[in-house]
Amino acid sequence: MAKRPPRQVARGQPAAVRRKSMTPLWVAVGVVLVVTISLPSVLLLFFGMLPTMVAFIIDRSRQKHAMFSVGGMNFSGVFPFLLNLWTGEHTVNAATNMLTDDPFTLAMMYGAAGLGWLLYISVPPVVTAFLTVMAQHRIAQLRTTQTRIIEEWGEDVAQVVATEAEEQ
Amino acid sequence: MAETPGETKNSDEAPTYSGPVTVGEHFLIDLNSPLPELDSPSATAYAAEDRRDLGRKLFALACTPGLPPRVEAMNTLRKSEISGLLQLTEWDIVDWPPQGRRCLVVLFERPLGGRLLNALAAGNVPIDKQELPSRIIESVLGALRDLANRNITHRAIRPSNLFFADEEKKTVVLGECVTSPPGFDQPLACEPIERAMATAGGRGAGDIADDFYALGATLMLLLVGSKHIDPLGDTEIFYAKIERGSYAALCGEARIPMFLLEPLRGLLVDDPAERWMFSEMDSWSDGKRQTPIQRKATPKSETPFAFNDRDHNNARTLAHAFSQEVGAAATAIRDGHLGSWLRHNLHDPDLADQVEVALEVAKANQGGFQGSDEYLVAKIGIMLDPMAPIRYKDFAFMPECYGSALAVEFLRSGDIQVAADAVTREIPGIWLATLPRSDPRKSPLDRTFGQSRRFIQENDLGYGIVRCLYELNPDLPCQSSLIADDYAIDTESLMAALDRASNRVDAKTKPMDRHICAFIAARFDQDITPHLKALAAPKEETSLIGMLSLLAFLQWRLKIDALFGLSSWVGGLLGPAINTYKSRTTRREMESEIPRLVRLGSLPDLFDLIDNAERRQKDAEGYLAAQEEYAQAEEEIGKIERGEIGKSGTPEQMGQQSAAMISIILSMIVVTIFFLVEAL
Repeated sequence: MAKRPPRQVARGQPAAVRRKSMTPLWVAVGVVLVVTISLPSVLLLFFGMLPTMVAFIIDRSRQKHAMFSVGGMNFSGVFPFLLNLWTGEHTVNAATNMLTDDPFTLAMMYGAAGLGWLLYISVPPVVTAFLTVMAQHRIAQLRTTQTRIIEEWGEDVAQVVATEAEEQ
Repeated sequence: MAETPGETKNSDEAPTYSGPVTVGEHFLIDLNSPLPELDSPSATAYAAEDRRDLGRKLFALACTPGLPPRVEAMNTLRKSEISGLLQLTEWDIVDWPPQGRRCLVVLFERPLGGRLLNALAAGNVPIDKQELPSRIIESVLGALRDLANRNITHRAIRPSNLFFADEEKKTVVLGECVTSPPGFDQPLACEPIERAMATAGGRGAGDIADDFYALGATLMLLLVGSKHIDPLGDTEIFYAKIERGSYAALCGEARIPMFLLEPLRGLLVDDPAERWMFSEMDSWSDGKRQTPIQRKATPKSETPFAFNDRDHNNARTLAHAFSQEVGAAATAIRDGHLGSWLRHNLHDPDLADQVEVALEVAKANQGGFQGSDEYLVAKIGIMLDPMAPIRYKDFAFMPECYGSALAVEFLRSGDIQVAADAVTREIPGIWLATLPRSDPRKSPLDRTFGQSRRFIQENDLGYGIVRCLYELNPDLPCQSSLIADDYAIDTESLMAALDRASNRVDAKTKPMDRHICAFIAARFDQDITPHLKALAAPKEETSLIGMLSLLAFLQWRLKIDALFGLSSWVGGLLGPAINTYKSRTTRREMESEIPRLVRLGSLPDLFDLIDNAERRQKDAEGYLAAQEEYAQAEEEIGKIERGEIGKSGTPEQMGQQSAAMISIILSMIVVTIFFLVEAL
């Protein structure tokens, strides 16, 4: 006769479902609170960080390296203006003026994001090349070690590798 | 055939030798003074002297190499003074220039009156013809009595082996009996019927009755000569002895002096149990009359059995004739008439039944060795004449002297396969089955042949028929072609011989062969089975280590001093044994160490170098570690080649990750700078 499932599990499942379903709500509450408390900063960040959002959407990888690359540089471009906003007049109007009055502002923010993209595109080939050189060097080192072992112990010492290969 | 020691390669001119050969501490043999008149059939005589007593007249007999001499008898006789026998003074193994090898030489007091036969031929015998036989009997009886007290049979009593000990030719003495196997040099006339049927080496030491027979035959030949038997040939002498009895056969039509009639009849009785020996001869010497000897007639058939153009009236001559013509004998036996002849003509139904059963067994085993002609003839021969030697093909031996027969066969032809077959096919077992259970010879002979069969059936080094050769001939020197010239009779001399051989033998030849292995196994008193097993291993390196371990064990156990030559020889062969070590560094170290150990002449040290347990374990462990290291390297190379460089994934992914990190770090720097600028 099958046992009845433990009570805790029966209770726990609906709790998890409840927690999961509550997350967007809390996010929404948080956004509303932030918007309520600091709408000028949110405005500036929203429009200034648009390239990051685009990168987030188009980067399908789990690690989201593109988003971090673009986002890091994008934030570097946005932060000076955000600091001005925090240290100056922290109003919606001031934030809007910052974005609209001087095209240099958005150009700087998006340019920084572009640099992030540039980093994302240019660094991997360099790293790959570097790692390949390192790998070749390591292989050469290992082959030298193997040659030394064979010189010392004879060809038979490699037989174990051949046997394993045959077994596989 | 082996050369006798006096033979030289070129006999056109008598060679001269620079100096004498020293025997023991103070005996000298003058090689430039051969004494052919004192030669034995198997040994050559030279003049010798005692440095401590230059007036003492000696002579030396150099034995035929390869013939097993009677070393045990030599050792006994050297310490004893035997009346009526040439005094054995010393024996030794010495370098022998006439043959360019080592030889066994035996020194005797020189018989100053020379050989009796020579004196008789020259008419130079001062003793009355009537008195001479009595002098001979008196002298030989004394010698036989002393020899019997020492459990030695002479087995070389013949007319040509009697000497005058003194220049006046008054004292007759018996000649030597130690330079060849017992009975080896005896003419057939002087051997009892059954022993004369054996090959020369297979006649055996026998017992005192055989010496008394030889004494009788010797006296008879001296009295009547041998002109009437010389033309007969060996086979006819047998037939005459068997059919007419030895006395009648040797006497012929001659007249025997009355006073010698009874002793000669008594000494030449063919049944050893009825033969005259000490008590009868003593009584005769004391003048007491003996019961006249009645000759027992050999059972004669009513109708002869015709075989090979001869009619046989008794089983004994027929058995001998069968042994001479095996193929024809097998045909005659398989005809089936033999059983019926034995039953109806010799009136021996038991023997007839045995022969018929043997024939049935042979038919049932057609194709196997039990159905072969040789086996069948040997078996029937033993049944017809159980007193005769065991005869298989052309190899005939008295059962107690299989060993010396084997040695002589080896010396004669170098092929002892027939002798080996005789044992593996259990021919001696057929003979042993004819003995009554209580016969004291049965058990030791059964053991001897059983052990020999086991040795022969084992084919590894240290066993085989050569092992029997040395087990059954304790005085036979090692016959290995490497050291045969060195006359090595024990393990110490074998090692010395191998040491000397290193100078002349091809260095690539191993100092170990079937003869040397079997010789060591037979002579060395320690168990060497593990060494022999290693030696017999199919792998060259294991065999080499086995060889080294055996030689090292011998040197260590026998406490033999440095063997520089042998160490160098063995050291040069150790390449494959060194290669059993995996580490090249270890090999190089060992190779560089060998010359030092060779200079020490120590085989145990060489063995310790080659088969050191600690070094071997270290090597094995190192090899395993090397295997593991190699495999790990291979695995890492494989991973690198498959692009599995780090934990973060492919280089592309690592590059992207690096870009993200650079970006974040830069942003943090920017934020920090702006904060600091703003704060300041």
